[in-house]
Amino acid sequence: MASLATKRLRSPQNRRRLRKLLLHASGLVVMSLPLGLVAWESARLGFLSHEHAYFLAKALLVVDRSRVELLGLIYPPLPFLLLLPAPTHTLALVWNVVLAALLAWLLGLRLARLGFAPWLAALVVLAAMMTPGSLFVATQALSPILLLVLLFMAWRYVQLFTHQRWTWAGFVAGLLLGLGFFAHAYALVYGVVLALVGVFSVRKRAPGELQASLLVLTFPMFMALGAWSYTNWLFTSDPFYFLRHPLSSPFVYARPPSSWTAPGWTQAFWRTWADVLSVPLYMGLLVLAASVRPASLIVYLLPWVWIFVARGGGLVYEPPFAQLTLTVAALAAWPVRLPRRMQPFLVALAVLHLYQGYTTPQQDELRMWWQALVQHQTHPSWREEQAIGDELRSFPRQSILLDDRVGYRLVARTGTTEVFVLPSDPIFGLAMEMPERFVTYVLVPHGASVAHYGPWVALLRPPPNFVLLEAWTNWALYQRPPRAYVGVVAKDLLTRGLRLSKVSERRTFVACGVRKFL
Amino acid sequence: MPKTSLRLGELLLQEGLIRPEDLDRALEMQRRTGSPLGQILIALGLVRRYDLYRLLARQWNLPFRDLLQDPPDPEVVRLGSPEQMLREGYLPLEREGNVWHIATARRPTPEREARIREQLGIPPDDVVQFYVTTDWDIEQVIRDVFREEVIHSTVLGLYYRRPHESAYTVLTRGQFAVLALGLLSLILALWWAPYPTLLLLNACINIGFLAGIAFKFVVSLVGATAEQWEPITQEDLAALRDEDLPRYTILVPVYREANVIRPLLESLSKLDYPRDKLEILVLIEEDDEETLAAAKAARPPYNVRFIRIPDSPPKTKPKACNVGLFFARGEFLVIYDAEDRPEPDQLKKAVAAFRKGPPNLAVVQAALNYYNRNENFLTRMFTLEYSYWFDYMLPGLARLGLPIPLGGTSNHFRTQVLRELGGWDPFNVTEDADLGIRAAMHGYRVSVINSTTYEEANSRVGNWIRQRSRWIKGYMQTALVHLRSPRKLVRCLGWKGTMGFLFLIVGTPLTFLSAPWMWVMYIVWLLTRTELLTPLFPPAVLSVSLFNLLIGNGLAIYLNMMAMFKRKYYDLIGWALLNPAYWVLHSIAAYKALWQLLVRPHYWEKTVHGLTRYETPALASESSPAA
Repeated sequence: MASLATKRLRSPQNRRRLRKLLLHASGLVVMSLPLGLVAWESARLGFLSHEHAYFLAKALLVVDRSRVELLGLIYPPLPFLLLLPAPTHTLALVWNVVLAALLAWLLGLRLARLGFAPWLAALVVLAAMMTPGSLFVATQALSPILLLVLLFMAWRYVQLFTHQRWTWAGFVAGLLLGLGFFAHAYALVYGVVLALVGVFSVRKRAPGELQASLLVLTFPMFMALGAWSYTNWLFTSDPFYFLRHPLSSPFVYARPPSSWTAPGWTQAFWRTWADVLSVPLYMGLLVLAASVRPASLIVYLLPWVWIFVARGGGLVYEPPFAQLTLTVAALAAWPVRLPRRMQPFLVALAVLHLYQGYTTPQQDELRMWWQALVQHQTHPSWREEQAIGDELRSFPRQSILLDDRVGYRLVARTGTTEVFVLPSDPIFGLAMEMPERFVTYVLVPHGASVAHYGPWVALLRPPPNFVLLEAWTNWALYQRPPRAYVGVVAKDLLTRGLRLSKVSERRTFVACGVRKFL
Repeated sequence: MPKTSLRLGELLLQEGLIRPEDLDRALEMQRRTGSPLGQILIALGLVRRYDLYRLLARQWNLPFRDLLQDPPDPEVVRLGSPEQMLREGYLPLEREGNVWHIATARRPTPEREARIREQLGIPPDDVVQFYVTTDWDIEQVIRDVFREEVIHSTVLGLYYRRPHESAYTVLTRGQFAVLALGLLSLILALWWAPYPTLLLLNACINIGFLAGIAFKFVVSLVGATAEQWEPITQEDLAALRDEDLPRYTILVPVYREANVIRPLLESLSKLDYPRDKLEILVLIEEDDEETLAAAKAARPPYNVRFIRIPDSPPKTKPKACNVGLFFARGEFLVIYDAEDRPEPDQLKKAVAAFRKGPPNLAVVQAALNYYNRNENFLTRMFTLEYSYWFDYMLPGLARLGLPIPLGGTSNHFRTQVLRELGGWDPFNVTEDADLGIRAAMHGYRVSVINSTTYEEANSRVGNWIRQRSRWIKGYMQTALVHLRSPRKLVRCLGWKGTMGFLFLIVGTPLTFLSAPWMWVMYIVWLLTRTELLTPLFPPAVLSVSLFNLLIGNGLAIYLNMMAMFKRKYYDLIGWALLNPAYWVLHSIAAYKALWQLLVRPHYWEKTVHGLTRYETPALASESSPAA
């Protein structure tokens, strides 16, 4: 066996492959180290991002219930699938860091291919990835980082497809863009943009080649959209249900008000302008690219325009994600080999980028996270949330009624869904009607947080007759009334002839668990 | 005839059989190819075979004998082995006491004489008297004298040598028992517990589909990247020198195809290969006078020979090919159908592939595609299918080292290996696919070359179903043959190869047979929203089923699109969306195939060619993915 392995290694082609593999692996490890440290520190401080919490809660639900079909209702499914093997916060962080490191490494490789000196490529990548906003996306936002990685890889293959005329590259690019849709809804827009840019960057084309190229590049993406819409229609009668899920929706109106507010066109413009200004690498490279190849200006402007249009049109585009998108786009779109005379500009831009990244005021989740990280202090709400989770974990099976569209963070902190009755459970609808019959406890938002949740949340108030057991800053736990009452309810249930059977399980789930609370 | 010391060219000039400029041309070619001058002169049609051999007899100082005028004693001819005599180019004619009369088409040297003596068992004291005759005469006599032997060896050769590899027996007893038991169990299970049984069946079908999709996706992905490494480059071709090129045999089985003979000969004449090293055997059935007459009327070049296929059952293409193989003298051999238009450099690419490849490379397959692709819906879909199969799947299978079911034509063999393998199985109606698997089972490799042969796509639904049902029946036969001993299959192909075999050969008919049930269930559910089907789709099965429906079918369509793009058939890309309609036809053909497997297992559904209203295109205008 050993001799066979040695023999294989002796082949120059295999040796070359191994060397290349080792180089990529070590590059990935090197890039992962600083990001990993940041992720580790934030986990130590007890920070759990909304996005990680959302995916974790869903993954836990599927694993605990062994209900694969729930996959059809979770969007985007790809980050969630990554967590399925072991739904823990650690795995979410590991994936995030690995993907971000991959993106950084690929960016570095691209810059090196464009003639950037190694030190300069390293400096630029460092500047791109090490600002607070970038670090946040790199360690705490699985869906955006996955989208950026897939888009960046797809872009490389789109170029090979259009310039080298390698159809296999078009095949791979199409598949990556199709996969991108399962990572983030914006893949649809960026996919079309990449395809258009790639196809129009080639001057000589055979008749029909342009349309054909566009079709083969974008077909998998639209096929993915069609497949997902069909699945949603099948289970919920609403083909675009996935776009309206409160925690993953790209639409502002479907999101909890606390997470993002619709800015309107004027505000959207200024917010986007502010984002652009906070990314000197983007601005600088845009100007430099326009000087060396004016046509590439269009490519640079496309993400900017999209971020503005998305925000103005009522879609969510968080600033850290927007800033990293612009940075990656700026580096990916650089059109020519770097002239030597431009190196000092690049150094200045990288330094300015870092400076700007650290001085731009942050908002919302990013601000809390960065403050905690810098001050090495745990936020009290995170501690409390973890304490609730730890306490709930010891409760009896399926004893707590909770709407995870609000309580996803608690589910993630608890580390199991066994103790909860959640909207995707067939009995959730019935439990909402007669909680006394089905659950012992009800967990509802409490205090100021109630105002944050819109009409799309099912469980905002405790059911009548339930008594308050425990209250925290944002949550309150209510307990079922004495047992005698349950008998009356059970009788009532029988007279109404409500039954649950395995056959109608899915329909009940659809009827009670989803449609009713949209 | 007086002995002469003149050289052959001088003799020909002296006799006035050739013009000096023609001789110069032939000598120039001889310098390039290194072939014997006589062979070149015949191939170029500058000298009649009869005249040439008459002069050779004079040069060798031997008498000439016309075997058609003066036939030999069949009993003496039978003393030799037909294969050896064909290879060595001699024939025992008569025996008078201790004198043996032997006809030869090659110069009789002492070494040759010793070899002939040994092969015929001529005692050392006996005398051998040589005569000169044409190679064509020798072949003709052998064909007549050994007619029964030829039939026997070409029809039952494989069955007698390796019965377990022949499709003569459709089902072995063991297979019959297993199938009967399985069927009985299924019926009992359906009666006893219908829903769980149907659920199990449904789950198995869906998981099978999923595995098949995954397999095809991986193979296609690997096949797609093969584009980066052209198997044979222009440099490889440029490195080939004419004198180093081996003799090549082209077999063209035809049956009632008088209308395509002329274009066929024209297209073969465009092949870029020294004509004197090219042997074209047109295989014509004995009862097909019409095609023979058309072939003669086309006045083919002298390197084209007509081989009459003895009229005996089974009347199949593999039997005709086996007869062709019997008479083939090339080091390499290729099959073309009558309507085929191979790219001119295909033979050279095949030679280069054999030289570049490992010693166990036995077959190389060229891609097939269609020149009448835009004729109608069917030809378009056929083009999509073939482009995907030959440009994505086969390169993928080759790169992964999986067994390759050969396509019907344009497969190039090492003739000796083909003989060792037993030739084609005349009882298998996809003898090509079977041969590819058999080659892999015997440790040989099959590879692909970046050259295309253009064919006529079937443009009529009835004709298409006939052809497709034959192919699917052939796959069923091949599956049954090689699954007779699963252990041997795994031992010979390894686990990877066995999985490839199962997915391709076994999985293809099963997919077509089971798909309609899925479609029916889906349509019924879509129209009625019945809950009756719900128990058959528990969450796990439903997920797999949805994946197959949405992603699997989507991927299949996408792969077809990519294959079209690779071929630069941009106008056909959108047609890939209509693939599901085409798959319905496959299922119809699959059920016909299953029925035929039971009632007429060896029946050869003849595909009618020459139905297209499209003219054969000039090959230069065609686009090969490698071009």
